[in-house]
Amino acid sequence: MLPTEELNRENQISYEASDQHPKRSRPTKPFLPPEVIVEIISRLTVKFLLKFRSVSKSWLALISSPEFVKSHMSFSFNKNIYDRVMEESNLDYLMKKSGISFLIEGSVNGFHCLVNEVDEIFLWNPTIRKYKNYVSLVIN
Amino acid sequence: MSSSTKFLTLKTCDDKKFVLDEAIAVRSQTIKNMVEDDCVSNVIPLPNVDSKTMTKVIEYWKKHSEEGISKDMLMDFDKAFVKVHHSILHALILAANFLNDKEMLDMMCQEVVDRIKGKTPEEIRKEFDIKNDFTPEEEEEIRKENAWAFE
Repeated sequence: MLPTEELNRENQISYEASDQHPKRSRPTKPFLPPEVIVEIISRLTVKFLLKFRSVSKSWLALISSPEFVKSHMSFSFNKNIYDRVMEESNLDYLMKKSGISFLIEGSVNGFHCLVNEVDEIFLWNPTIRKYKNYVSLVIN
Repeated sequence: MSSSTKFLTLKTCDDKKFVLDEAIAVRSQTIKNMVEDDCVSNVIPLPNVDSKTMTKVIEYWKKHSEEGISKDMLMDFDKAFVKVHHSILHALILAANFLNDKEMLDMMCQEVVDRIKGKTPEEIRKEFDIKNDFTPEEEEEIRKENAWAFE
């Protein structure tokens, strides 16, 4: 089994449909327990995970949880699942926002440390297309 | 492992019995643990698996235990094996999870992923019988947060 059991305990996905009427759900479609759902969605690329955050509150909580993120990352590394994020996006969307250029100072686990012309430091995760100003990161 | 063939009897939840070569049955880590811990008396009950599903599981196990079978042949077999109605696919996943057959679970989960990745959140809800508990506003908010993922 994947190291997801621990994750499940902390992150019980409640299954509304089955909670309310466990016997009434169509017998032809077996109910998949949370650990199996985790098994399945761990194999999805980040783009699909972001999209499926809007499936339900429990899926949102699961996909956003640090435990899932961690297990998804190690799964992607092991299976060599590549999220081809740089294909067309490059740094464009980030540049356009700030209007100044960046240097990549270093990278770890898909995170990149960027420094701009006025020595502001940004932590950038291209896979989810989000970045944080290091100053605000420290304050928060 | 001894050279003489040992057989195990597996009993599914609908009381059907399957007699299977132990060497094949231990593809299931669950059964393997039971055998190693000497917990096996006459019949191994499989309360979470029905006979229809078990028949498919055994078909898979036997094919994957065949001597001298080529990788290509196995790949073709696997490809055809997963092309089943999603209710059967889900039942097989549950069985593989209960029997703790990592290889089979891996393959079946990958098939589900291939089937769902192009779908919309609404279609996902249908696939997994999930109720949408977001208000339209909340859903829109999450959608906006990562609008590019919906492109």
